[in-house]
Amino acid sequence: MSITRRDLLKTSIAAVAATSVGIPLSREGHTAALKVDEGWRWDKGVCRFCGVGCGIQIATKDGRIVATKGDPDSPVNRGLNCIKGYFNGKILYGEDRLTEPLLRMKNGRFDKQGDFVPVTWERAFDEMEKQFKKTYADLGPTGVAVMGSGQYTIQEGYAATKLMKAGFRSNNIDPNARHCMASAVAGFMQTFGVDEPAGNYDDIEETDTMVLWGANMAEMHPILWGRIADRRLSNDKARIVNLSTYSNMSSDLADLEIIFKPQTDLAIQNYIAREIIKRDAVNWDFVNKHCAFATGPYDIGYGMRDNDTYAFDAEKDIQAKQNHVRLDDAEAVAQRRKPGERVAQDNSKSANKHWLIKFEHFKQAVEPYTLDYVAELAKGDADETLGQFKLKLQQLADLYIEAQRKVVSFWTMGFNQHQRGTWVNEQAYMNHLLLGKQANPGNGAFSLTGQPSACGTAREVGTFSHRLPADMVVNNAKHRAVAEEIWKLPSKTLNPKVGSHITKIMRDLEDGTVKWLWVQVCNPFQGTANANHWIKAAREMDNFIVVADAYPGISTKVADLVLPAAMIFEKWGGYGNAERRTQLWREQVPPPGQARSDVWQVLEFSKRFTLKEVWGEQSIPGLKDEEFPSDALPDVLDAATAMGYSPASTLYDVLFATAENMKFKWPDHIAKGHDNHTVAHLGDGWFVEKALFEEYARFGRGHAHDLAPFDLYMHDDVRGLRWPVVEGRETKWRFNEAYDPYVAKGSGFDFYGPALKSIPSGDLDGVTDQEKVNLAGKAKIFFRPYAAPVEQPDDNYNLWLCTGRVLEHWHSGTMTRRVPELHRAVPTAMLYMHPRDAETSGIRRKDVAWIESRRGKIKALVETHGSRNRMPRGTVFVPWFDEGVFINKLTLDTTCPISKQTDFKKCAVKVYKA
Amino acid sequence: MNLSAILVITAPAEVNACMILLGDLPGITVHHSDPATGKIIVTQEAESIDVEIEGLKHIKSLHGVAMAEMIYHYFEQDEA
Repeated sequence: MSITRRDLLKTSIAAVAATSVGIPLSREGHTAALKVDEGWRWDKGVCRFCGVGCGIQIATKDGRIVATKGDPDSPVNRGLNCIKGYFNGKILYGEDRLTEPLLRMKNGRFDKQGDFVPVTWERAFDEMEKQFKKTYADLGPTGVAVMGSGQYTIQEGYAATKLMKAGFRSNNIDPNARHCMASAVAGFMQTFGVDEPAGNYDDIEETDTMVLWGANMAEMHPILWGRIADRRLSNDKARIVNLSTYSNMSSDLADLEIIFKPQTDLAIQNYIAREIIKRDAVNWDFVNKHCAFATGPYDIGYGMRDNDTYAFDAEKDIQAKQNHVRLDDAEAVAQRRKPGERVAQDNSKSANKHWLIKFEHFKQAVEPYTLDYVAELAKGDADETLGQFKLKLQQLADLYIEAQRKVVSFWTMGFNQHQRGTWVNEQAYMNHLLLGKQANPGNGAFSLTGQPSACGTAREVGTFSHRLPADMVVNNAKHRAVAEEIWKLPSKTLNPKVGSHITKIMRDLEDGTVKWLWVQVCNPFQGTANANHWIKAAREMDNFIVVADAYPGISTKVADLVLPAAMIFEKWGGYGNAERRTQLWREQVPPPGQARSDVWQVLEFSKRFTLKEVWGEQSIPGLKDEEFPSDALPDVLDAATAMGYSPASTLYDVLFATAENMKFKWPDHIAKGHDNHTVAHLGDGWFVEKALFEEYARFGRGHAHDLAPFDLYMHDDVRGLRWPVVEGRETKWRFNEAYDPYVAKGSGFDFYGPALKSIPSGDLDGVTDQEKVNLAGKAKIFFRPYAAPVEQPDDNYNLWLCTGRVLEHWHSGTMTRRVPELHRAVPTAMLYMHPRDAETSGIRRKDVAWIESRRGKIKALVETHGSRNRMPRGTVFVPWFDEGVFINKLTLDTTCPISKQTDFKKCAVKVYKA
Repeated sequence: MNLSAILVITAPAEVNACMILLGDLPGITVHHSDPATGKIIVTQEAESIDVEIEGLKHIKSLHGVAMAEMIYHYFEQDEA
């Protein structure tokens, strides 16, 4: 680049940047800003990475992205990008991009032990189809599975879930978002009867208090953190609290840092509830009008297998706790039982049941959570005194309770990746509801997400094994009927039996109940806990694993067939962020080589199946539903014929290229000259992404999940809209009459979510009256007790292990670790530990150490003086982005029994010099 | 060759001191500032994303810097 051109660019982009953040410029500055982008095409998009959903602008020239910038008109990020923003353009252009299908072959034929050989799409689909049909014939719909993602575009998730649920009649589709926010979903559904937050990011500028529970926002959500920092620095009353199991970057700005022992957040929240009652601070007007008290069983297990057939010997002691637990002292107090009592986990398969209780029961339940008891249990830093810790807990309670103080609680993986993740989510609402500080500007419990469309796709489209679009579920006859009507399916096409969640799909591969798997938009063989089992299941067993991805990673390495996927700006798509904001974008550049969008892949694959292959009677082991034959789905081919389909119709014709969808013609003026490679390669002339979006939106419109028309999101002056979008207007605070058109007039607040609102009554020990009480319009205040982590440090495995992300690498690193130099920046993921723990283990900073759990061992470099994570004694942290430091070989696949989300935040390890 | 524009925010009283610190960093040019709000715009020139990210992390760690985030990213086509 010439010096002149470089200097011009610098001057220009500096001027553009200054303008976008409101720095006054001279006339020369304005002139410079105009010069930089002659010949470039700018268009709006959304950041590829976390759940914040920052708006960006993308410049293309000659079919390549040349620049990106934070969108100054985006209300989310107001022109800024975090460090991950550097990757938005570059991720498309890594040297090792997958650009052609690869099949393991020997002597020209598929062979599980063969090497990867480039093949055509035709050959790839031929093998996929052959293997699918073999498994489908042997095992039926439950023998096949799809792993999806919170990185699915809305249309990708919708196409995949429709093909699986309506086409193949299988509910075995589940996203890696299960690992990310399933506990948040279960918490929302049980508390409010509807998913997703009441509030939005504007709460930051409205509130006085921002409490972080297991959310290192400074590192994981930097743009929101910037808004929080602004609020803190511009308002004398504003306070930040950081609750965590180790000191992190969010602590740097916090007024109060509380380091607690893993899982004792359950006890801390009950302490706050007890204080609210003790100080007579319950907002009775709000609680009486809008809430009801509830609880559920405690003996719910830990979401592990209930037998040790597949367990390594070293794992068997922990696995046995799935069935029986001996209560420790703290748990006994928390649950009003005797220490040492052996409790059968009888409700491990009915963990989500719950019943109404009276306030007196609730008050009795939180009574044991005194300051003395909770402080003793929860203090997480051995170098802090009990007195100091008690003072902090009191200050925390003060902040929540102070009458005129607004409070927002934020959380992400610390709550969600938790053996009692649903409970701890519910406890956040418990305190906000008791205080009446919920669903109001500046007041509310706000669940953040980690993936860009965990909300917009995984949750709203419903790419989970139990869900249908718009908060509906497969095991509800009315919901299936709605879906069957919109999808034009014969009655009883949809399978009423909940499928396998993502960790269960891994277990199914190991025990032979699933033998065909398609992985989309994720890297589950790196991202699933207790990975040695699943690597073995993929490579050593007779399973066929298809992985669609843009770059090689652990999952592509263990695959039998690799499909090259188009990346974000190489296709049309849409994401929904953590504040219910739906944002759509256009295809900006063509995908490289043979790479194709996941939508195209799903639709092409669907052409290979006729109705008679999938809509005959199908075996579903364990299906028990009074409207269905035992263990089977009925033959619906006659009904299909009566509806005008032919047994020879393909799933493509019936599910996707329908007469209604074909009405959305391509080209479309809304494209403004942008291409659509999906449409071009399908060759049918219909605008796939627009048609699928509009079909999907029918589920939510009129049902409090209203999305705007596709074209509205494409308007130049729209930067996404927060649903429900009613009459063109977005909804900022749900359940609040002043903002939400779905709230009953005159009610003030209306927690109108319809799910799980009719429940029996009882006391703290169980149901005493089976008659259902209708809680329409109310939110539930749950009592949930402290429960000890299923695996804890002992004499052999003496340290807690916590895992998570780091600022500049995202998730499993397949996109952010492409540029070779990056490996020098953070050569391997570090093992962060306290210097005294290192000393005790006989190791020093920068040593290579073994980390070992009951499930495996790996090596990592030791960091004892990291600026980002400062560990208390007894706890170590290892990020999971680096496939060379494969930490999920060590983690335990325990899940919240209600949400089925894995707890990646606590298991026991030992560390020693390598 | 990559170029990026970065917003640095500091306390208004520290804008000048911060601009001096920033100006001494390799690849960094200070362009605009607003003493009233403590905002400074710099550009960073770097060989690769790796260097850009390290540079931004370094800016974040400077004395007096409350916040630093990227706004604009230009990258040349010849770098993989």
